[in-house]
Amino acid sequence: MNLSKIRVISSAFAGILLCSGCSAEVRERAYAQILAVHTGTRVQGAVRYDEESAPAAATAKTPVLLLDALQSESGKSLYTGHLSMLLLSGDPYRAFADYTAGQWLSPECMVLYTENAANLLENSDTDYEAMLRQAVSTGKLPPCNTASIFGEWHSGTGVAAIPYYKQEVLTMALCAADGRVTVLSEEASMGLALMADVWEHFSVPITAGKSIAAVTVSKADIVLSFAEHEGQLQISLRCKTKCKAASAEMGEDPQTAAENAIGDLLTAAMHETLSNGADLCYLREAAIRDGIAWAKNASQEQWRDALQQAVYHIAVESEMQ
Amino acid sequence: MSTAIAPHKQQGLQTAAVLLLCRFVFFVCAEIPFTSAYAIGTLLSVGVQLLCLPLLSSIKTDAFSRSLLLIYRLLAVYAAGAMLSAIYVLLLKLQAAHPAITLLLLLAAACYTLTLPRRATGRVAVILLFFLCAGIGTVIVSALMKGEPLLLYTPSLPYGIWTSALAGFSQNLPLAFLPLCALPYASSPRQCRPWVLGCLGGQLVLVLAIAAGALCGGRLAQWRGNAFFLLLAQLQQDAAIRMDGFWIGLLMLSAVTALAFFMQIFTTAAPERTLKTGEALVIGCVFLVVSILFIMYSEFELLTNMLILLGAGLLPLLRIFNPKRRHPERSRT
Repeated sequence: MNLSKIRVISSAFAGILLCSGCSAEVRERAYAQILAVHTGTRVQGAVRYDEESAPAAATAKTPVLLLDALQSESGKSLYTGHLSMLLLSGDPYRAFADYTAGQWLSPECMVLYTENAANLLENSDTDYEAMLRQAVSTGKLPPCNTASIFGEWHSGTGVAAIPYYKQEVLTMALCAADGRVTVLSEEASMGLALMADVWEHFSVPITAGKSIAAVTVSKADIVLSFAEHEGQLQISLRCKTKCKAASAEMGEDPQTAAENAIGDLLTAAMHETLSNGADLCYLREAAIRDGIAWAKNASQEQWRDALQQAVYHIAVESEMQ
Repeated sequence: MSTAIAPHKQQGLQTAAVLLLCRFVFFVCAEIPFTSAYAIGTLLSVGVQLLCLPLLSSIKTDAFSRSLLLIYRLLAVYAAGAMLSAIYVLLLKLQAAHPAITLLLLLAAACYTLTLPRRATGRVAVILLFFLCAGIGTVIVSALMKGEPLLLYTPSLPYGIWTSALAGFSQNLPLAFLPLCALPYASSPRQCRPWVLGCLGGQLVLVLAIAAGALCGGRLAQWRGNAFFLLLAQLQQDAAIRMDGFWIGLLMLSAVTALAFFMQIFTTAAPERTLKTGEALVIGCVFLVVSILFIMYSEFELLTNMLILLGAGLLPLLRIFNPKRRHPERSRT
C-alpha cells in the first residue's frame, strides 16, 4: 500500500469518526428553550423545547435530579446550551447554584422569578423573553441575566436582583443566598433601570395637579462617589439628565417636576437596595476606586453591613429640551 | 515596481507568527479569569520577556552542545504535552464531542506536517496570524463597547498580580525556542529579533483583550468554564451570530501549527531533511505519551515545570561557560 492510499484512508476514517459522532450527538439531544424550576420540599419542573410543543413536566428531590427526570420524560439527553429563559420560584439560589456549578446555564440566559414557575409554564403560553426584553428597553427593569446574578451572588454581597413577575406586573426581587426574597417597588425597579442606562426609551410619570403627565428622558449620566466619615460610608449619586415633556400639562415648572420625579425613582432604588444590603450597581468597585481600601478585602457580610448603614445623597439636574 | 518582501524579513515574520500562535493557544486554554490583576500580571510578564530577549537572541546555534540541544528537545516535548493537555481540558469544559479523538487528530495533522518542507509551517502561521488579529480586534472592540469600566476595580481573588505574571510567563514558554527558530525558518536569531520584538509588543493586544474581558465579566471570577469562551458568550447579543466555531477552528489550526513547530524543534538535529511518515508517527507517539501523562497526573506538570525552570536558569551559564563550542552535527552539515 503506498503513502497516498494511507493518507486517503486515514483522512476518510477521521472524517467518518467525526461526522458520525457529531450527527449521533445532535439527534440524541433535546434542546431546551425555557426551563421552569420550583424549589420547595420537592423540586417541581417543566421544560419547553420549542414554541409549538407542549411543556414536559417532572418532579425530583433536587434541581439536578430534576434535569435527569426531564431527560427520562423526553427520552433524550437534555441540552441547555441554547436555553434562553429560566423561570425560578421557591428558593431561587438553590436551583441557580446547582445549575451554574454544573455548567448547565449560558451567561446570557435570562432569569425570571415568579410564584410556582412550573405551573406557570405549563398553563400559560406567554412569551416571557419578549416581555422582559420590552421591559428593559422601556426602562421598567434593569438588564438581568445569569452572569449578572452570578456576579451579585458571588462577588457582590450575596444578594442578587432578579426580575419578578406576578399577576402580569413586572418588578425586581432581591434574592439572598440564604433564601430570603424581598420584592422591590415599581419605582425602585425603574430607578435601577435608569442607573443601568441600557434603555432605549425612558418615560417618567409626573403628577401635576389633578392630571398625570410624563417626561421622556433621552440621556442620563450617573456618577457614583464614595466617602467615609467616622466609619460610615457616604454615597453620593449625581444624575444629569436631558428630558423632554411628553405632554403639555406639566405645570408651571416642568424642570423641577422632572427633577423631583427622577429623584424619587433613584431614592426608591437606593433606599430599597441598600436597606437589604444589595450591591447591584458595582458599589464595591466604586468604593475601591474612591480610595476606601478596606472594601477590597471586606467579606460579603462586612460589605453588606456597611451598605445597610451607609447614608446616601442624591442630586438630580435636568435639562429640558 | 516589485513589492516583494525580502526573504529574511519573511523568515523573521514567520518566526514571530509561530511564537504568537503558541502564545495564543496557551492564552485561550488558560484557566485564569479575566481580571485587571491578570492584565497587569501579563503586562509585567511581557516586560520580563523583553528583558530576556537580548540574551535569547544573542545565543548562537553554533555554540550549542549536545546537552543543550537535549534540554531544548525535552522542552519541546514538555511544551507540546502541556499544550495538548490544556486543549483536552478546554474541550472537556466546552462539552465538545470526542475530545480524545480530536487530540489524536491534532497530533496526526502535526505529524503530517513533519513530512512537508519546514517553511510550510511558518507560512501557514502568517496566514493564521492575520485571522487571529482580525478576530481578536473584533472581540476587543465589542467588549469595550459593552463593558463597564468600574469592573476593573473588582477584587480579583484568588488570582493576584504575581500569580498572573507567572502564568503569563509560562504561557509564553515557547519564546525560549527563539535561538532554535533560526534552524527551521530564519538563518540567524538576530534576523528575527525585530519581529520577535514586535511579537512581544503584540502581546499587549492580549493584555487589552484581558482588560476588555474584565470590563465584561470582572465579577465572574468564580464562573466555572473557560474565561475566553465566557467572554465570547457575553458578546453574542444576537443568537444568529455565533463566533464559537470560528474560534475553535482557529484554535485547532493554531494548535496544529504550534505542535508542528515543537516537533520541528524536537527533530532539530536534522534540519534540512523532511521526515518519512513512519519517523513522524514515532515522534507523534512520543508526544502522545507525554500528553497522556500530563492529562493523568497534574503532579507531572509541576515536577517538569520545576525542571524546566531549572534548565532555563542554567541556560545563560551554559552560554557563558561554553560559548565557542561548535555543535558537531551542525558542523557536519
